[in-house]
Amino acid sequence: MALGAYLFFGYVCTPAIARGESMEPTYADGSLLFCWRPRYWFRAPRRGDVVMVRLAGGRVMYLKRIVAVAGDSVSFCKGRLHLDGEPVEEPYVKTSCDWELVTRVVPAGQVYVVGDNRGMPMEQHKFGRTSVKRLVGGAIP
Amino acid sequence: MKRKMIFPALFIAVAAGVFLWWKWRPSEEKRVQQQVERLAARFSRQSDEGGAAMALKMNGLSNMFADTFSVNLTDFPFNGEYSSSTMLSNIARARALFEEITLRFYDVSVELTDEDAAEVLFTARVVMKRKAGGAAMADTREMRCALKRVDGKWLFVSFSEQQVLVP
Repeated sequence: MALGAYLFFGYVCTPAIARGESMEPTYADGSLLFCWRPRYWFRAPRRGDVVMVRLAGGRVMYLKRIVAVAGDSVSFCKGRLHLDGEPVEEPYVKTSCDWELVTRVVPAGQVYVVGDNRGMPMEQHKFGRTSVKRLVGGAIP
Repeated sequence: MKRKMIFPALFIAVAAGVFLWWKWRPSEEKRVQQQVERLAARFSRQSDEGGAAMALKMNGLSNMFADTFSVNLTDFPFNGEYSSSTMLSNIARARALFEEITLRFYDVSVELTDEDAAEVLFTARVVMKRKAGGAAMADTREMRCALKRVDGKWLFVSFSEQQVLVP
């Protein structure tokens, strides 16, 4: 039982604490979540997925949402996300912003991730493209 | 008989101690990791840090950097190459701006690239509270640093960032 719990919570469904405000209001600073590692064992990452992005190891990770996948053209115009030139409805974004970002194409093997809190200044918000290999799993709930 | 046994027993105990120390002495990788953790501890400051503690930390930091030290981070205003003394004064100035600094390194992995050179990959997280109050500033980055061994001491040569998210 103890071994099962250790393996499950250590390698399959890892508990984590959200730090920072970049994913608010979906995940408030200090909220508990789980990283579901099997999420991408059998399927590719999709737009809208909330993912954990690995840094040097597994102890500290970025928590972000995939807004574009390989081949998509992504841009921000007057604070609105555009994919392939079309504005995208993002129900999880509750704050308005004035972000401007010229169009860029997501290369193969990468995804484009952004936090839900667009009320932050763009310069203070960590976002961008990253390798699919860095995705550790999906966030639950 | 008892007195005769004291010296062999003492000899065996000392030999066992020496053997255990030799067997479990810190490896070079461990020494490098300790040096990296020491840097984080000395850079950090608590809100109640006194003058003596600050002086000790600055003195400790003064012999952690190589003669020339380079920094290359994204969106960082102080990128460039510095002498160890300039680096030290920059750190002192940066520490003075904040009431509390917590610098922590996670997932530290050390690779010895040469007998006297090492590369370290880790995740750095810093949380800083300004003296004037206001919200704390926090930043998390994946970093790589290089060290070289000079006279048996591991000294920092460079700090650079591995960009995980590219805007």
